[in-house]
Amino acid sequence: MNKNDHYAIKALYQQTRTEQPSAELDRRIQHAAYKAATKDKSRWIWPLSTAAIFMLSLNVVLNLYDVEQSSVEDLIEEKSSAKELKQIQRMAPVAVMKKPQQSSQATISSAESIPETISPFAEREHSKMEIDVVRDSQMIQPDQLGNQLNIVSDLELKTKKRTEKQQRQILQSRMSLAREKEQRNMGMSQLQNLKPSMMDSASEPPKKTLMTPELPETLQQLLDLAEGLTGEQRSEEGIRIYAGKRLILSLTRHEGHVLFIAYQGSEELGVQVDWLMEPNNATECESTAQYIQCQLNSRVSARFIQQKLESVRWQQPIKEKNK
Amino acid sequence: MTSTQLTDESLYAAYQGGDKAAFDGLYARYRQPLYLFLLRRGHDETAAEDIFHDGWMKVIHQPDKFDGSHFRGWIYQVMRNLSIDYFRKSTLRSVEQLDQERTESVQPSVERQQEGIDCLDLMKNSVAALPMEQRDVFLLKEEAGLSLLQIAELMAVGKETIKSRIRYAMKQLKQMLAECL
Repeated sequence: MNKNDHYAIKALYQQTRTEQPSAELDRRIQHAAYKAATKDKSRWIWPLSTAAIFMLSLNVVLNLYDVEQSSVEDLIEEKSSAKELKQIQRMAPVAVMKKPQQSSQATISSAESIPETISPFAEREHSKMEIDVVRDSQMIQPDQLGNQLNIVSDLELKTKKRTEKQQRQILQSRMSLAREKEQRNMGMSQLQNLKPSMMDSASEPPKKTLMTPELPETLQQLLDLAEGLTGEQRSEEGIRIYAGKRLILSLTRHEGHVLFIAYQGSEELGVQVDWLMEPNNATECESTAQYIQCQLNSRVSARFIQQKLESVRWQQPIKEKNK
Repeated sequence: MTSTQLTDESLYAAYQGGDKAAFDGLYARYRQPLYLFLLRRGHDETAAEDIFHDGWMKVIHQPDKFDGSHFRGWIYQVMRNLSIDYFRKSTLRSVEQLDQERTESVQPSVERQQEGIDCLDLMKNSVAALPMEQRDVFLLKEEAGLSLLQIAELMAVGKETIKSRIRYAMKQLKQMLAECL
């Protein structure tokens, strides 16, 4: 094909360029554009105020969470068993009973029979009671000494028993709460960020950490998923979405369903896959010369090439209304 | 600096800042080429106007979808995507059927030979008769004025593929328009 033909075709094409959109359409688009331009001036206020409120709330929640967690973590780190609980009691801050300034034999005896330490957990309640006892003991007459000593030691014993029990209960509940939180956090991080070292861990069985995203149920939702992404290629058969030049997700339309194929990088679209998964972690595998395909669950299958996870596939029925 | 001297990206940014005249400048630049792109892609006037309208609504209301780099490529991509969606949703006649009809209309009929050939009509029909991939490349080059590299990026294929498609498109057009060239 010579250059003259090329130019002739271009020139002929240029001559066909006569059609124009209607004036009514121009007017509608212009009207919408002007309206949006006027609105735009105040458009930033709502997102900004929403973002500010969100940040403020998040800050408050995080602060509360930090306070709660640090107190629990401190306790967990220090002591985590009943045996160690006793050490807590010994090492805990003490509320020392003050001896009466002008001590008589009786008051000295009564003061000596009062325990020297009080657990921090029951400190407020206990100390009030004991201070009352001390105040009373300062006024004890020698002849009342026997009765008062009995009362004091009973009170002291009961209080001590009760506070120890309370201590254990509080500590146990806090420890279990902390364990739950820790497990939950570990679970999340394993799903999102599973590392080889964790995969190799002998203590835990290999996990199928595949999660499919919130899948679109209608064709329109499907199209919205890809809408606005850069590096997308649409054709009559389907949509291919790229990150740079790398294909990360393909959606192919078939009779009654859409076949999704997610590749590495599809995380950007909300597809969460453990790409370190190996075929031996899955069951129901079929091998061909090129690849191994394993069914991960009733809907999702994974394709491995040379023992490496190459892609994950699943089908989505189309609920499209025929016009 | 007048709006005719400003780049598309500057005009779009100015419009985002509330400058209505900037939108007028931008619209004037793309009004006809975009509409023709849709018509030549195979839509009738009603469908082309619908898609044209929807495309501009995206430009107006979804500025965050524009990455700020190349407005021309972006707006054609928006229109092309909507056009593909439209064809896909169309359950009355498939694209293949439409193509088939257009191909048949390009064949010189006895009446046409007797009446004499309208080269402009033949040109329109010839473009419509090209396979969709070649038609897209031809229109993005001739109507949108995009470079081969820009077309390659927009269609997410290699530059060599685009070159090859444009070569085949021109070859076919030459055959179909032999009597007019």
